[in-house]
Amino acid sequence: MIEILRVFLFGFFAIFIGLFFMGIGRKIIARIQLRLGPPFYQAFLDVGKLFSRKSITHNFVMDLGMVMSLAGLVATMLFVPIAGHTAIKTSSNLIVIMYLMAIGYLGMAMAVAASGNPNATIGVSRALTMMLGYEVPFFTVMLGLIIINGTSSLELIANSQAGSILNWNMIKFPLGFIAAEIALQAMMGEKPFDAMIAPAEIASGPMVELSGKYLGLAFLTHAVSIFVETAIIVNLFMGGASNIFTFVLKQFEIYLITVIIEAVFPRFKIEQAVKFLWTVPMSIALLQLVLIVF
Amino acid sequence: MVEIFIIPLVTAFLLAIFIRNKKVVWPLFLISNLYILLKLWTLFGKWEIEKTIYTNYELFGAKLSFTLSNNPLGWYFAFFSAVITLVISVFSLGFNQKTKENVAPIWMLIIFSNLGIFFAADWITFFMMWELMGWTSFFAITNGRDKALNEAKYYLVLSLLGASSMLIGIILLGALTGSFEIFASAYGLVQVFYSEKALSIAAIMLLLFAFFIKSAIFPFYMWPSKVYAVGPEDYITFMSSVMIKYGIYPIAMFIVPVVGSLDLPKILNTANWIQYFVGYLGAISAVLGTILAIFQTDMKKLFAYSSVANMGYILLGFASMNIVGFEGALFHAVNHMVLKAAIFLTLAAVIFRTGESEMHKLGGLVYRMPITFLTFLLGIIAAAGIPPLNGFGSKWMIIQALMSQKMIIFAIAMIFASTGAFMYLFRALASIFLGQLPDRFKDIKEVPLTMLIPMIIMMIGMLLIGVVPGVVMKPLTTALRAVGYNVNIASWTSLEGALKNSTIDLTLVFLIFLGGFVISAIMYILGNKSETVPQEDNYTGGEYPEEWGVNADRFNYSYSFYQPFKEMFEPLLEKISIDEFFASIGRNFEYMSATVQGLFRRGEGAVLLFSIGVLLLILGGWII
Repeated sequence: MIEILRVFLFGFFAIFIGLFFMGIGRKIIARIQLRLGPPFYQAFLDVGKLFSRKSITHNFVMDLGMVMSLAGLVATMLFVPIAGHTAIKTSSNLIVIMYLMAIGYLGMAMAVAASGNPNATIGVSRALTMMLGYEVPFFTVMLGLIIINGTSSLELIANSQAGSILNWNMIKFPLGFIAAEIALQAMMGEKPFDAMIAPAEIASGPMVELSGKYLGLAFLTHAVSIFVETAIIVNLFMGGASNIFTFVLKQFEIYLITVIIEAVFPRFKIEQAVKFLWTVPMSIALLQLVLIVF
Repeated sequence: MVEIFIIPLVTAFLLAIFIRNKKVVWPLFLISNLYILLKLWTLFGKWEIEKTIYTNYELFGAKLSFTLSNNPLGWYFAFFSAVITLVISVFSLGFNQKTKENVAPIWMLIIFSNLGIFFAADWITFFMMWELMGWTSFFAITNGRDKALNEAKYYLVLSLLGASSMLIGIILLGALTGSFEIFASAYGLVQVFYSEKALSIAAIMLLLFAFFIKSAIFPFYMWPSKVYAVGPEDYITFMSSVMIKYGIYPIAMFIVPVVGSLDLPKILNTANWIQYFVGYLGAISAVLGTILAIFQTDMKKLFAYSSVANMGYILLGFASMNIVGFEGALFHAVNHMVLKAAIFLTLAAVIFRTGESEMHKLGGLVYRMPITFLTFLLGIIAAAGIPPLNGFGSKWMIIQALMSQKMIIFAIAMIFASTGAFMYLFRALASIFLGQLPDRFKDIKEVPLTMLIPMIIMMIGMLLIGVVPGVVMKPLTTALRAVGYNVNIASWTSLEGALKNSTIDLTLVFLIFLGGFVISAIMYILGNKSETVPQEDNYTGGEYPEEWGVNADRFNYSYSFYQPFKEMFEPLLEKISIDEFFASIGRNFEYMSATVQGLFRRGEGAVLLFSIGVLLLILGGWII
């Protein structure tokens, strides 16, 4: 019983923090662009509005896919240790986390492709291409950390950096951290890697056909994905945290970096993005890997 | 033991007699497969059963004999392939109602050779069964249709090439070790390896060559895409799930123990060169198979290349020479059997209803064939290796093994291939089942019940193995223990990794996913009501095009789905075309054989001479 409660608690906590980050992110971007920007709680208002509006759907695949996408991300979130706690006792295996995340994206892709709008499918095709682009350097960085720690458990990797700030992998393996940050930018779909959304080109791509609660679910999925991805980086490179506030603060620092990059960069074309990801971060990551292994 | 060999032979004969009568043939085929499966079930654990036929021949001091024995690893492969065969034969009942040709008798012979390959205890029997499988599959692929002839010939030539290399390898092995028994020769090879290094390596390489051809490893990765595109769909299902594993089984049975017990110098403290050789071929197959699969437009070709990539994973598992990797590779062999069978059954169902295998000509079939869609969806989730389904566990074990052995290039290649798998798998899903339904497919219906039942069984199978991996891992570890590996019997729910603290409980993963699903569903239910509107409502903004006198235009984004990505890889792919390479060999060969043919214009004489030679050889054997 207590496990079920914990699952709900962790799930809604991730959604809350993700939405909170999104709101602050919008505010920061606005300030960088010399606008006033919406209030920091705007994301909550948006989601509330979207869930209260009537919406249209085209078929059952769309409903199933949207539910699956949030389900996949929430499930992933339950595997990620937050300040040393996970919802349920697991070995918090990194490979499991990376693959579970994919089911969420698959659900989203399925839902929007079922809407029958070509723009959505183009967006998905770009998103999957981008995924191949960032997964390879990101995994290369992870591989180095896994080999040096001799474990693929995220919790153990986080614990191995306990003590002073000098033990953080961020300090010990700066090249790996840089490569992971660039890959993270693409993973979150922020500029310059937002070819899959590209509002001016393909009308927000995957989101083009979503309305009401479907768009709301997509919002929540994005919120949880922000939470999961920043939490992975914090565990891998910043030594996790001893309490939940420090953990969220560290997550926010990571998110802040992506938001600031997002605010000032233009967009890569998809093939440019993949080429960039396979050259710059990949070679940095490989260099780090070679330094670690040999 | 002998019954499972006699029954298929007798059935094949009966099937050939009743070949015109479909009402008899396919039920008989089904019953025979059911019998084989039940018999195999009873054989579990009785590893001492053996049947030998002695002959008077002698070669290199070893008596030639034909031995069939119930060896544990062979049982593992035979049992799961029998399960898949049974499911496919239920599917065939419905699928073959309309077809004119009848592949059943030949198929039964292949099932016979299938069992023979897995239970052969000596190389002579193994080779005979291998050859039988080679030429029978030629007839099964053509299935009496001219248009399939070229592809079937391609397959046959590769088969013959593999078989001849294997024959030389076997003879070499016999000469080196003085035995044709598989286990004895493996033991003997390890003994003589250091004194006869070049010849031993040559024997290993010649055998590997044959196995790689059968399992479509890198230089021979072309045949699945050619053959699957033309063969009868139900037989192709069998081929893609079971027959492609014929190369995997002898590698697990012979090559891995031999190379594992050799003490070769290690490169960079990680592994020896044979491991790297096998691993690189596996990695290239995985990466190249994935890239090629991304660019296909024919769905059967797409999944053919996906098979190539999966064989690459299995080879990577072997290359790690780590018990977790070895178990993972064998586990993946069965997982791939199950998920590929599921996927190809759905493709067969789509082709059965629409007669179309080009993906961009299909679309929106989910509204007409929901159960087929669901099977396909679970199949691609499994093939992508996403947790609650069965492809994940084995891939995870292989990656764990590669990471623990510090084989970084292979681990990266594997991640590249399995992320690329999302691309082509989703493309197939979107193009075939999602999007808008073309007008000409407005009236198609879901496939009949005999074809639905196998698909539902496959769905349950994928989910079961994914959530309770012990279903496969328990027999596997029991078999490995019986062969002599020092492994723990696996538990029902969790998998052991090769790294520190890396046990994962797949049932728990499933339950957590369910938890996520519940949370997500609550959010969905909390939201306001939604209304279902037709798809045309999207980019016409709610207007009805008919009112303006135009037809509702249907367009799916599915042709050249990954065009930008393709442009990146085009220069690379143009350079490495194995087909071109083979074609140039073929041209030279043609030229040479034409010259030789000129010398023997009168073919009859040569045939007569050959027959006399064979007769003399046989008589000689009896006299000596």
